[in-house]
Amino acid sequence: MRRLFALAGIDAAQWAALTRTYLVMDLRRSGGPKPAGSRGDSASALPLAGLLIGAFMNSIVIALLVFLVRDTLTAAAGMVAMAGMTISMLLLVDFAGSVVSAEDYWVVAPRPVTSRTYFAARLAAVLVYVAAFAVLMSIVPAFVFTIRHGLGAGAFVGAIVATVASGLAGTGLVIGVYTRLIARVPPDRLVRVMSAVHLAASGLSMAGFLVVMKGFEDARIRDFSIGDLGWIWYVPATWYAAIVPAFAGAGGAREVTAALAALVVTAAVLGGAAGRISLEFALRLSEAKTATRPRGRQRALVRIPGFGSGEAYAVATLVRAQFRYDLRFRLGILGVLPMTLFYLFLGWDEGVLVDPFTGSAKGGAPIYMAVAFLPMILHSALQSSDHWRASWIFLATPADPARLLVAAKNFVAVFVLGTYLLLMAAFWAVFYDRVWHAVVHALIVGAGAHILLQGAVILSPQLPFAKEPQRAEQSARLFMLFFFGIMFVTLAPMLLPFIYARPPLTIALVVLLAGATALLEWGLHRRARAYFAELEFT
Amino acid sequence: MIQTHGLRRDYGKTTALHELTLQVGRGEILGFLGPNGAGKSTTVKILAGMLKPTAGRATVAGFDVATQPVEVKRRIGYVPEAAALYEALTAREYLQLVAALHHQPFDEARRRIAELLDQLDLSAAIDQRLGEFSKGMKQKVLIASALLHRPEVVFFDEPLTGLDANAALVVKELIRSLAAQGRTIFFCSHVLEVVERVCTRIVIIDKGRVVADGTAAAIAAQTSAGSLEAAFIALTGRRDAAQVTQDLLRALGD
Repeated sequence: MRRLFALAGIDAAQWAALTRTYLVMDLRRSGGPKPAGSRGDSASALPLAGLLIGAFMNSIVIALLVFLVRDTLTAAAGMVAMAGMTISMLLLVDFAGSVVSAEDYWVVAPRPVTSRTYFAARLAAVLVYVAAFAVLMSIVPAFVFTIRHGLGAGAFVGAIVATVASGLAGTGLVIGVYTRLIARVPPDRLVRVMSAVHLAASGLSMAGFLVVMKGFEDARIRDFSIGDLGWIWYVPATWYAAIVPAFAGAGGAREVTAALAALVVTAAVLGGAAGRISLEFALRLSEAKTATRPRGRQRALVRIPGFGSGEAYAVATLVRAQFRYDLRFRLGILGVLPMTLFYLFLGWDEGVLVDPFTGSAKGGAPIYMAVAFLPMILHSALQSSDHWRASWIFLATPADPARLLVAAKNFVAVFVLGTYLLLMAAFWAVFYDRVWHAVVHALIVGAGAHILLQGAVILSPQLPFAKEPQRAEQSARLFMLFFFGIMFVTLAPMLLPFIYARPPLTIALVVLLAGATALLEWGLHRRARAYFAELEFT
Repeated sequence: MIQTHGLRRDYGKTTALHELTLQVGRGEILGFLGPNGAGKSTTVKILAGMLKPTAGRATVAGFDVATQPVEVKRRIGYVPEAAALYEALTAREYLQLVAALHHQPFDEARRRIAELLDQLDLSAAIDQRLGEFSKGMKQKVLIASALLHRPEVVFFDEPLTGLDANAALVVKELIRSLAAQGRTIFFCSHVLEVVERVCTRIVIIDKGRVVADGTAAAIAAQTSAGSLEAAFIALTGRRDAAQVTQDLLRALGD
């Protein structure tokens, strides 16, 4: 083994030490076990629990798909596509913390470690993370292949291998693209260029997810065999899908050849990414953190009405600066945007443009999900930062922590929720019978989303950017919010048409929402003051 | 042990280091001084094999820093200015990682870690997460990690930051002892009194260029200043300290 490593230019002992360290650090940062002698730990168990719940939920959805589709190859293609895209999203949302860390440069660069050894260790840690998630996602579908499709243990192993291999290939692809960018783009432009690529990649991944979901909604696909389509064998996802019948011994020469091609492609993609993660990569990330825009292109921060002074101005300035320069924060937010567009599209598709005041609107839950989803995700993303230690400033100045907290919530409510609602009101105004229907509906939906946001802040009061980031934190939040949010938003499209059809009920709803908002705002201030009275900067 | 010839480093259009030519012998303690942004950290990073020079050549312990950086890193210890550590690890885990990266046998590393942490008064915190350490404790871990593999050359970039008086005394004595063992010390600091007391030779750089090289007394004499501090201000000071103080007080409205 050592000889093999030496042939690849990797120091086996250093690789083992670094890989072990990165795995231990990732586990601890995602809420795993603490070291025995540790006094305390700020890391919550949310990321680990969120990831486990997320993997399980994905596993159930994929298993359902595998259960409904009769043809093994078609079912496997659906499984591989959905799993691959989920893993890509996971990597994209948490990229800045998942693949490489800027602190690596300062710890590893002065040691006698080659870039290749460092890369191999970082890659191994990421692949373990991806492979573990892929295995969790594929276990339930693997059982379905074995039982429902009447295939043996080979299909069970094949389903896991296919999911893991497609996940690893996706990881290699993401690493390859991003590291090439980092090597070529100057640090002062890196944040903006990476953001654009990140947004495009997240959008592409989400669009792919949508296409697969919509495709499998069609009842005809359940009796269809994609293997009969000649062109489908040119699509790499089919090669990965072919691993299932090939391992089960249910495929012919075509399936076996395609499965081998998938394994070769995985090795090639990972090999292509080889040498890309280097210590220079970590240095460039570190430089990007401190790089500023070239002179003459600096934009002065304008005062926004309502955020022009005191704590509100401080928060507005901080959030805008963090979005501009903090790669982790920016990529985390941009990774989520396509997901909300995805919900908007689903809502549109379900007939949400029908006027709910006419009482004929049905469905449209995803659109409410989108309106409630992004503000809450953005607000929770506002809580952690790599620069969390700088939050001493909040406690060393006469700033009121409760006002800071409320200002952060208001910033999200005005600029994210407000923008969304304006957009939606404009759309609805075009399609609804009356413009005022669109305005009232937007205000009521907005008030509901704002109440959810207030509730989230009361449950987890946290000063802006004052918490140490945890591994997979953002992905875990997405999974948890999706899980609880979906239950809530299914009620809105059912109840609102019923209420709108009865004017006294509509007025009562408006009064109720206004009262609840005021009550929660009062409760939020009380909760914040009580919480921050106990807070110490350690 | 350290030789540089015409060393230059550019960051885009900015030149951080101009034609640095320097020689530091075995057992020498070189104090490397300069105002903020003078190029000290860039020099150290180049000599530690962490940054490639744009032009010129440098060797450390007989190895070229640009072409043989791994060989250089085997022979050096580096205490960075910023306390950059993997804070999710305990002190013991972090030092074991560093020992493994230097290929130290496990038992020897364990013994050495215990010995160094004991000398630096950190034994009680050996299994605590580094994230829980104070600034001074982190600095001690960085010092221990730089000395773990018995380096021939040690780069100290502001090593006394955050240390209490007792610990600072230990580190100063340690530096002298390391030099007495024949190790070369490259010492960057803003604390002129410490540099004057500890270093056998001082180099002052400003805007990436060497502006003085010699003992503290020689540099003071060269600038006709009464002390190293006065010489430093004369060589690098852009504004009169008394005037700056007056301006600051005026800004405070006193």
